[in-house]
Amino acid sequence: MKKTWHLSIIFSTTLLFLTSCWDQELLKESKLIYGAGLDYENENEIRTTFAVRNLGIPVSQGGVYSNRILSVSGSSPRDTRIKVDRVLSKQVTASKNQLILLGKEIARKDIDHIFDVLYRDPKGPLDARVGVVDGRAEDMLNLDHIGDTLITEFMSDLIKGAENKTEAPPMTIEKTFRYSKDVGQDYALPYIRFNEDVGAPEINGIALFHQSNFTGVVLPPFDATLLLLMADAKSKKASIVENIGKEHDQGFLTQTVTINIQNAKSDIEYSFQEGNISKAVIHLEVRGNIEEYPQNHLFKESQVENIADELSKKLTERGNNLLTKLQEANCDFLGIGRDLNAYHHEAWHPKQWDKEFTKLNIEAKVKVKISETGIIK
Amino acid sequence: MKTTSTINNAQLFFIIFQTQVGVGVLSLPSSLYAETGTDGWITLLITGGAIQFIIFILYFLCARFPTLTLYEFAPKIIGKYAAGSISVLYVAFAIATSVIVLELFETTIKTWILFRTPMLVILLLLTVSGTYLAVGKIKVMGRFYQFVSILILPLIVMSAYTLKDADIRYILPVGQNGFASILKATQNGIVSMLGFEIVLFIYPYVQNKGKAALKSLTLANIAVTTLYTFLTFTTFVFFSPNQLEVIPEPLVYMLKGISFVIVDRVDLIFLSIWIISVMTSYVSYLYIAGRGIQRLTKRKKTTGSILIASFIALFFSMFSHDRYTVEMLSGYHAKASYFFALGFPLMLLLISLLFKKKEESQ
Amino acid sequence: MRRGKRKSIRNEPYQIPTATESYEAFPSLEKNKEYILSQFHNTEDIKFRKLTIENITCKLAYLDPLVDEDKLQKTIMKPLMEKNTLNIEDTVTSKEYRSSVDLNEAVTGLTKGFVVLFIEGHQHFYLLEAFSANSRAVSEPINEQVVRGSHEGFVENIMQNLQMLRRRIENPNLVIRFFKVGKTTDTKLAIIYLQHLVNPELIDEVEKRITSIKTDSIQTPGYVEEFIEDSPFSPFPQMLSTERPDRLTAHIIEGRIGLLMEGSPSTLVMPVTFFAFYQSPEDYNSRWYIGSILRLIRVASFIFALGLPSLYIATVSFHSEVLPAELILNIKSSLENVPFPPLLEALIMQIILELLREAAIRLPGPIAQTIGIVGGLVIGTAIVEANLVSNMMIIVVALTAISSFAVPSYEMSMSIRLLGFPLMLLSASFGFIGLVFGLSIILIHLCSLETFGTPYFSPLAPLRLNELKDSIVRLPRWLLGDRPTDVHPQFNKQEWRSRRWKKNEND
Repeated sequence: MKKTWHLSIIFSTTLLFLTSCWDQELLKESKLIYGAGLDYENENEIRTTFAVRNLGIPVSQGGVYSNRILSVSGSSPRDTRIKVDRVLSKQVTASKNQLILLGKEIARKDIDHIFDVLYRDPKGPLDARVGVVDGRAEDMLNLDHIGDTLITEFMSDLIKGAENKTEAPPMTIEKTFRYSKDVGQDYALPYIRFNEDVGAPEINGIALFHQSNFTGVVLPPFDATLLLLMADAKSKKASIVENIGKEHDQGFLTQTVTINIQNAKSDIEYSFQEGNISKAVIHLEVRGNIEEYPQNHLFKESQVENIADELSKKLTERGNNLLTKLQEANCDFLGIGRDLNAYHHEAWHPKQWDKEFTKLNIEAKVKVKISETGIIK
Repeated sequence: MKTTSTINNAQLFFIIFQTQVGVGVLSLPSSLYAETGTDGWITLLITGGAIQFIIFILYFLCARFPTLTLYEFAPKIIGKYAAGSISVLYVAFAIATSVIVLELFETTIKTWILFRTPMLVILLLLTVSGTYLAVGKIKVMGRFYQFVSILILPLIVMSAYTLKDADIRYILPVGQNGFASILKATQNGIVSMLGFEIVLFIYPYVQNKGKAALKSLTLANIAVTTLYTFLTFTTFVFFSPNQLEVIPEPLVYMLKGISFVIVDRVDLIFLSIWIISVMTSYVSYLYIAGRGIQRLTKRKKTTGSILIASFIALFFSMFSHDRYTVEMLSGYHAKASYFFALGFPLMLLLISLLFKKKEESQ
Repeated sequence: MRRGKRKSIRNEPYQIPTATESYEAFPSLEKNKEYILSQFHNTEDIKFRKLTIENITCKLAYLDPLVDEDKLQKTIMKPLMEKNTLNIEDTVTSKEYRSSVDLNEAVTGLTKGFVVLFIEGHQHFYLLEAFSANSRAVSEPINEQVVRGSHEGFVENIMQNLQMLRRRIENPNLVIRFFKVGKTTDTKLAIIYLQHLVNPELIDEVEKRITSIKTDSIQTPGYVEEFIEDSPFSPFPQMLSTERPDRLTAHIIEGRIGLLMEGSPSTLVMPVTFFAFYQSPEDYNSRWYIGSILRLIRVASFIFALGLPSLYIATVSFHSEVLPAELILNIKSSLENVPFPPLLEALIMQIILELLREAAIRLPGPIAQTIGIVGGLVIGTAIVEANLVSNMMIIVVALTAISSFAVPSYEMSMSIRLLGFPLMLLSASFGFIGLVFGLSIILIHLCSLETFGTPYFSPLAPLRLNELKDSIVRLPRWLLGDRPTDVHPQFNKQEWRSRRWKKNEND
């Protein structure tokens, strides 16, 4: 009995091996997509630009990596993937895609529909960075390389850099999925523009989204930082350069002060009227060090406080402008709707929130505190 | 020269724990969400309480017959023929559970990892290794379950890691869909936490019976409830509510976008560990079925009966293929499981109390 | 905690009898013999020799392995017989001479290589030195070398080996039983254990298994191992083979049984657990945290040696997406021009490696080094340049080989490398899923394996937290109050608060 039992195990195990490896996808047999750009082609078609990584000679033998940029049009992103697979040797895989660029035009359509394949595919790259391009994503990817860096690496490093400097929210495909399904919160993606002077792309602020559509409103990087601070989303670094008025301007290049923000605390205070929200006040308190103040040396505490007050005023002003823009775009970036749902549930009307938000009275109050002045006074 | 075929109380704990944690954990958050929205995690706490109640019933029943399994004490309570039919039903139930486990395992593996591998091969992988474990009898199962339980830690760490992207506001306000719906969802919770009924079949092998065993059972229930609540909680604060509607396996999906230092796609690692939990649940039911068949056919050794049970389970699991059929089948199975986890034991306990039937102590 | 410990010392029912109390000798020869035999638990290497001097019957008693035959003849027997006088002190010429009436002194003397001379009708007896100094060059076993610690190794002479053990454990409780096995060879086997410690059932079981051997010849301990082990189909060695007396001694003192064979320097220890193969005697010679880290490294080496190639294969042929974007390019670029699938690559490299290893063993030292250089450097570089095997695979296989050689036991290191092959097949067929199933089958096997009534994977499965401190790590000796319980020794305590002096110390 025992012997038959052993034999039966051995037989059934060997049976498994007699057949082939069904799901094998050899790494060396695959072509890796490292970046993709999506553009509006016409009413029923999309143009996808793929950056496929070439590996001719191994790097250990002196080879270099290069991208092959291919542009195809089709009725859906997956359709274009299938088409591009026809013109490429080996199996194309997008599982390590690092970058998805959206043309300005296509971003105004429903990106939920465009990203469906990324959400649905078990091998889809959920951690790829997403950015909106001023113009067409195709053109951006066709730059191929900036200096020595390939465009795909350049772009994703550019976006990651902006995230570290609190100039763009950390948005991956996973996050767009999360927020585009969320009624109570909207999001923004980094906005990339080709800088003609430098001849290279740059992060030119953030593109505000409502649900899953680009609203067409772009906030410049400085406003983006302020907005992110209001959303309590300070990243590793955050700096603010602000022009602080006439009495500080006494010479060449002396009208600004730069502060490096150590920490920021944001608190939203709501007021209600008849079970509806009537007003939201965003109290932002930032504590920072002076990074640059060319105009004078700061011997007295009162001088520092003076600067802080001035800054508070300026930033409050800026903040209010920025909030108006948000409302124009109908982009609830701060998640006020989410807050209402969570903490003031009775005032939360998900169906009317679209309208309520644009009419809402939102106000920003920024308070700046300065704790250090660098290593000199 | 062999070691004794008993299990200590820690092993009892891990057997119950591992049998309970199984294939259901992946889809639990979304099935709870479907019933009661983001309050699903509270449901699990209540479920834990309900299960504790059932555990008391099972324990009192077992404690009346400390050296007998259900297959052996049932004849003493309700007579040979009624007990025989109950035993047959339990065997059928255990095999059905194995089939459900196999099928859910197969569909999950097929959607997430091995897309083209034939169904039979995936089923065989689990069947062969599971049967090998089950024939090792209860002491080997105890050792194995205890050892692999350390793998729960990485699961917890991985899920806890996603908390950095969590938004607590997604589950607030607590209780927004009303208490009734929370209670109603309890049945979804109980189904995914089934497995404690194995105590009816392993109690005679426990070294320290009585209070110590009850303590192990209770701790196992607490551990499972805590783990499930934690895992469900993490998915609920990770995904925005509308997202949960469209994701059937949120726990895996959540980890798909996460990358640790040198590992991207943590979901693959998660699933690889989850396989072990599935295997342990499968083996537990195989063992229950095998013991039943052994008892019914009056064999001396369990090995043959476990083989028979695993063949039957394999045979039946080859029929349905798609997610929808499996969901329908597990729906029926869930309803039946109330009888086996609660109904029959309660009935047996009441009868044995009523007629004062008890194992004679020497 | 502390209180509990002290209590267990007080309640310890058994103390090691070290023959400190005196026990008066009998005038009767037979009674003395009886007592000594009982003290030695009827060990069979104790010898009694009858003499008649001045017409009085005398008896010489000695432990055979410890006594030098030449000395016994020249310094004791010959003078006694020739002079035929009971004036012992003036007659025998052995270099040490004592007279006593305490039989326990005789017992202690016997374990130290003395010959005891009893005289009928006399209560006092004589202890005469005849210690065997005979020893062939004892050298360190080359497959179990240590940096610090004893450099003694067993030799082919079973008596000399027993002598080494007797010298390491000078205790009458050390019992040796001899067996003659093999119809033609009539090989002498000996099992050695501590009577007061080892589980009696275990002794019976081992004796039962050895006596049931019916074979023509026993040529190596491997024959015995295959005859008496529990699971002959298991890939794991179930008895520890060692050529180090210190290693064997350590196991005997834990309550295990050692098996020695005439004509072979390697001895077997039974029952052992998996972790015994990962321990080296020098762990106890270094600082305890160094010893602990070494052990952890060895456990890691087990995991590497077993799973690294299969993990690599599964990753590059199924789940390349788990690699981060930067790493994947390095790996992919090294794979790009290799014509074989990863499984074949791994097999080629593993086979080359095994060939090299096998070739190097057979050759004399200096040539073996050449083989190493030719194999490692020349073939390694050439095979990458010829694009037959990728750089990555070379790294993986080399790491695997190094890890497997870090295991202190040769058999175990072979078993692990062997087990790597089915795992490689599984992961080449099913990726991570196959690997997980393969590993769990190995784990199930380890959990179900039992040798001589001892769970093989103890103390991990069944989990005994208290014993992990001397298996996966090595805590300071004074924290290891209890012996491992997997062998069910007759008493557990092995250390009685040796550092209690610390408490009484003034600042």
